[in-house]
Amino acid sequence: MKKIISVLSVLLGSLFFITGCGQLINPARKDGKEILISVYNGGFGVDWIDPVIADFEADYPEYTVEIEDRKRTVEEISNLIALGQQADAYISCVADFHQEIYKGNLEDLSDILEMKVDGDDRTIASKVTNLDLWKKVASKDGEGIYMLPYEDSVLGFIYDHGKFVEMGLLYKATNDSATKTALKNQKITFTESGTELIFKSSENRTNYKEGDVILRAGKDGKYGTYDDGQPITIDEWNKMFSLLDAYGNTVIYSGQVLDYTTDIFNGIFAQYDGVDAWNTFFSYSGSYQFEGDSAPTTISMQDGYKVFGMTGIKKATEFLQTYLNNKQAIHDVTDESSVSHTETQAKFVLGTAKPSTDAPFVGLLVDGVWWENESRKLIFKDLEASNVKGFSYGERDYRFMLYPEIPGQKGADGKGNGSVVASRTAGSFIVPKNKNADILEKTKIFLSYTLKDEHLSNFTALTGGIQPYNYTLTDEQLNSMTPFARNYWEMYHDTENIKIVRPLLDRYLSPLPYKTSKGNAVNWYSKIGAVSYNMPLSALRIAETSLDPAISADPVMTVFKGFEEHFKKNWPTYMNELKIG
Amino acid sequence: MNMIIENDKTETLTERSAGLKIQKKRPKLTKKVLIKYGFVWSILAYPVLLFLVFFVYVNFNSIIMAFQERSFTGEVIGWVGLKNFGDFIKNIADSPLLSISLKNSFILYLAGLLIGMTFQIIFSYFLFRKFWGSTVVRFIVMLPAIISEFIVCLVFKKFVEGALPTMFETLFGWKSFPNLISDTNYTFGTVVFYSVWMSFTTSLVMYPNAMNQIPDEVLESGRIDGIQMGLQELFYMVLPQIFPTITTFLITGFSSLLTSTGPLVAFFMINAPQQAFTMGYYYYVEVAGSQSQILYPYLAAGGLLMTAIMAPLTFLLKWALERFGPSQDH
Amino acid sequence: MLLRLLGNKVMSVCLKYISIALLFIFTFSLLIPLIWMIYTAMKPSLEYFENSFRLPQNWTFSNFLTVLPMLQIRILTDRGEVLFRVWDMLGTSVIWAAGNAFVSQFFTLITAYVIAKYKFIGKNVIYMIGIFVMIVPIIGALPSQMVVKKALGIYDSMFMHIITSPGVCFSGLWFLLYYAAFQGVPWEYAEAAFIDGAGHYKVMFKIMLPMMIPTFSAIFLLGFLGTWNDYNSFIMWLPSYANLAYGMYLFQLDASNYGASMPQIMAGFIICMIPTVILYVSSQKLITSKLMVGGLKG
Repeated sequence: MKKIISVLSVLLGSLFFITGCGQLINPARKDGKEILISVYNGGFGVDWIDPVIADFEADYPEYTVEIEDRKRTVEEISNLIALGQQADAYISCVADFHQEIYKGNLEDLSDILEMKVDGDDRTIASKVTNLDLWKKVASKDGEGIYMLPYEDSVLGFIYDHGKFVEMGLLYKATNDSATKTALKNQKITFTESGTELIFKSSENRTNYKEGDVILRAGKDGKYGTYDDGQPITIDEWNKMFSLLDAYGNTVIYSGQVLDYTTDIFNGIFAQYDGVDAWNTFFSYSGSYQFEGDSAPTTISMQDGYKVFGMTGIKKATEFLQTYLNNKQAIHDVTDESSVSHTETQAKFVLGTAKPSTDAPFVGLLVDGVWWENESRKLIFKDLEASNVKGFSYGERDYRFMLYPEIPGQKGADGKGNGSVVASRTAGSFIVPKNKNADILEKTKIFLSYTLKDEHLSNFTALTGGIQPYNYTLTDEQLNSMTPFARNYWEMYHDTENIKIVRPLLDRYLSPLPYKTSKGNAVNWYSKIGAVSYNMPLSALRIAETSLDPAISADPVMTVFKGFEEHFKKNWPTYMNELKIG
Repeated sequence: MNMIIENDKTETLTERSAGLKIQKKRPKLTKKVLIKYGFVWSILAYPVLLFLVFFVYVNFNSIIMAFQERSFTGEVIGWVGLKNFGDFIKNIADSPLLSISLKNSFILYLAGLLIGMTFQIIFSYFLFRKFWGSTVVRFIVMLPAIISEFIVCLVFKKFVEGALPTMFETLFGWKSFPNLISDTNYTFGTVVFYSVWMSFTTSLVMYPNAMNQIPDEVLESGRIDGIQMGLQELFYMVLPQIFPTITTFLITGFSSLLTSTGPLVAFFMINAPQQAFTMGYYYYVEVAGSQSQILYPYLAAGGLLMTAIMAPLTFLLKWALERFGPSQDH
Repeated sequence: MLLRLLGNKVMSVCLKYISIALLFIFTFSLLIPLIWMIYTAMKPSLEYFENSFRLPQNWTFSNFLTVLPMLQIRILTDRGEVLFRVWDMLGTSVIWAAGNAFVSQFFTLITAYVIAKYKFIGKNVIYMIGIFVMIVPIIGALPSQMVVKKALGIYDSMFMHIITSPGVCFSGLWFLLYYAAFQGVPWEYAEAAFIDGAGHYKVMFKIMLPMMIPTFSAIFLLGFLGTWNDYNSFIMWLPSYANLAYGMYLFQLDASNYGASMPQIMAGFIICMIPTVILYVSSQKLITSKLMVGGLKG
């Protein structure tokens, strides 16, 4: 008996010894004709790449494209490159590969830019919407281009338009001659019903169905677009929040991913101070007139920390404190660090579909454009399976709520008009150095296929996300998209009234993130007492509960001053590392 | 004359003493002794080596580090005397967190001592007396120690944050039950509760086992003297007998007074509200905030200062307990 | 006055039943979150989002099936990317827990034997050092530990960690336990063996240590269970490995990336708990009967 137990123990031990080391994954190439593409499997998924593969393999039948659908971080990719186990290309949700660029581990993609993939004379370079920016941030000392754009995803407040209309939270168009003239100019027909104007039909695409009450035109001045009826002034915004608070909760965001609120912060900052100041902020080069000063101050890299005194940052901190940190009004999960962003999305949808104890009504969700696609197989699928009517994927009219006009703002045009929003992710694709010249060439060709008009438009039609290239959608594609995706498409392309800032890309306007110990860390370290906190919202929460009355009395000013305090302290180290001064 | 007769051998007391005195002299280095020492040190060699490396050298290195200045990558840049100690003291003095952190550390310890230990001993007595259901109780109280501490912590946190307010709303209609973890009015109270609540697991095994070692005659004699079975027996008979075990827990608990973070790290990582800070957590936040070796000397200096405070206090406690504690004599 | 009260028979009985009632309440309080965890794991996600406390209206085991394929961790090591599936992590857990528990307990046991039963120069010094180490709090040695472990090649080596797991063998609660136990073992058995010509090693391995098998087994099991749930060591010292506890830690951190809801996370926790609960249930009597801690005399 003892012998049997001993033998079994040895066998079991050996078995565990073998399995305990895990399984080494080595991307083996069977016949040298596989192209391995690693695609970040985030909110947009990877289904969009299937038609690209089919297209490529039809033209190059001897090659096969394998997809690795993982959420690869920059660190993982760097380590894989160092181990020699990298994929042939990475399609990532970030553009933080500067360390690899400067180590010489990435291929120059300038040749992809020269490719013509649409059967006409347009090069890919001519399609990139912000090529100048990419040439600045993706080059090596101004030469070449080592990353090309992937997805461009805005984050902001999301609301259920239908529910807001039902609740009377949106502003109706006034029944007056000016409105009627504007509607006629837009070729919109309507009927009158007392003070309301009722939509009948339109020659152009609008968001209205027959019988809908026409809402006030938004900041774009047009009817039937993505921002109709939204509050514009701070007073209107406050009124909306009061009503939401009375009805349920005002805002919901994930307690686990507090950093989403940082992009609201970024957007308010950029809207108040304008895009020029935003660029000065990230390049540490330019001029800015600080609050209380009579003339602008010139800022250079040596005293770049001064940018943290910009007034827009104070306004953004105030905005965060007022609307996202009001514990009485915001949803409980904003305090629960174990609640994921997908659960948060679920509670947002449920709050309207089926309000309950843990999912009461909440007005605004803080999330990005990917959220609807991400929840497609989660809450929307669950609701459909539970026969909850009207809440299947694509049925609701979700929209981004633009920020209110903040008195004194520069806005989108620098004169106070329009809205600025921040993009959460600035995705990119890279190609690590490859000794196999044939595979390298085919990899680049495959990547160029992803940038064909048909595949770009298919990406948008399928996921709702947008890639920063010039392409159009057919009516059929538009009709196949969810209302939220259509609204975002419209908003994204309203370049007259909407400016998008990209903090995770714009930070590379200076070499600080990749040439100093500042690293790729987020910008917003605020020193509260002895400790620096790396998110404005975290810093606010710490400040308002501080035991030091000098801190807790005015958390907004504490956090605002804390930004400059943190960076001023560390600035000499960064300059030393850059060998400046 | 006093005679001793043993094993058919007769000797006087004086002769016996003389013999004993002879025996007390250091034994000769015979082969037997050498073999014995060879065996002893062959067994102790590895443990002593580990001690020398992982205790002596590590702490020696830590002491040396406290007087150094290091770069990001850990290279020694220079020697800075007592600068790191001064920086640590200055940091503590400048920070308003010191008084609350110290206060909270003592509250946490005292709660564990006065509430936790008191009830641990009382509960253990009844487990020792094997009341109805004690087997099931013993099984259940060990469960948190068996399930990962991390899982228990996360489940507790999620339950308290999410399910508890919902429970009160569902059962009683209370809509504004606070979030006992994130509401700063309750955070530290919840931390104390959790620490005390979780402290029972090992104690409710150790104490009853210690009580089982008490000779039956001792307890019987107490009953003969009129001591009631129950808390009276616990206080008069059982406590003195298990006092060494209690001493061990008291001393080891006291020595960790300044290092205990409670469940703060599991609950909050480095973002706990200041009202809930303990000295151990304050130190942890400083450590977690440092991502490079540049702060190692400063942290080593801080550690030494706290050790210098706690070590003599711990010895003092040990002395006091041994000096003034109840006698175990049967 | 309190002592007189305790002597009063009625008061004594009342206090007894109050104490037992409090014990039951405490025991039940331990079960509440665990029961909640179990039925939450059997709750559809939608029901959980609506009410996180209520019992499931539609009980389901689907969360366990959904979470199993999610319970895999990929770690980038020097060898390359390593995939740890559930049984890989189980294997690592077994090796880590058994290895650590056995090596550290074995060396503690033989150290306690030698110190308890042999007189030699330096014995009292070693014993006093052990007491000193146990009661003197050493704070802030973590940076130094990291430097030493990296220098000796212990960092990120499970084998080296297991070999060096004993730490200070002549200190700690387990040492005191073994020490007290050996002191209670009559030396006559050893003397008889010496007379028969046995050497010290033979006496130790054939006579003295076998007497400690029940105590050793109990402490080994306790050490095994404690180390089984250790995830801190993997975070700090073994980044290339993943046991079940570390896997669960990473999983729940990353759960939202998989779209896992709280019921699925709870299901994952339960899966990871099963081995240790089974082990504990089958060895509970052994563990609970053999644990006893004495004093810190010295």
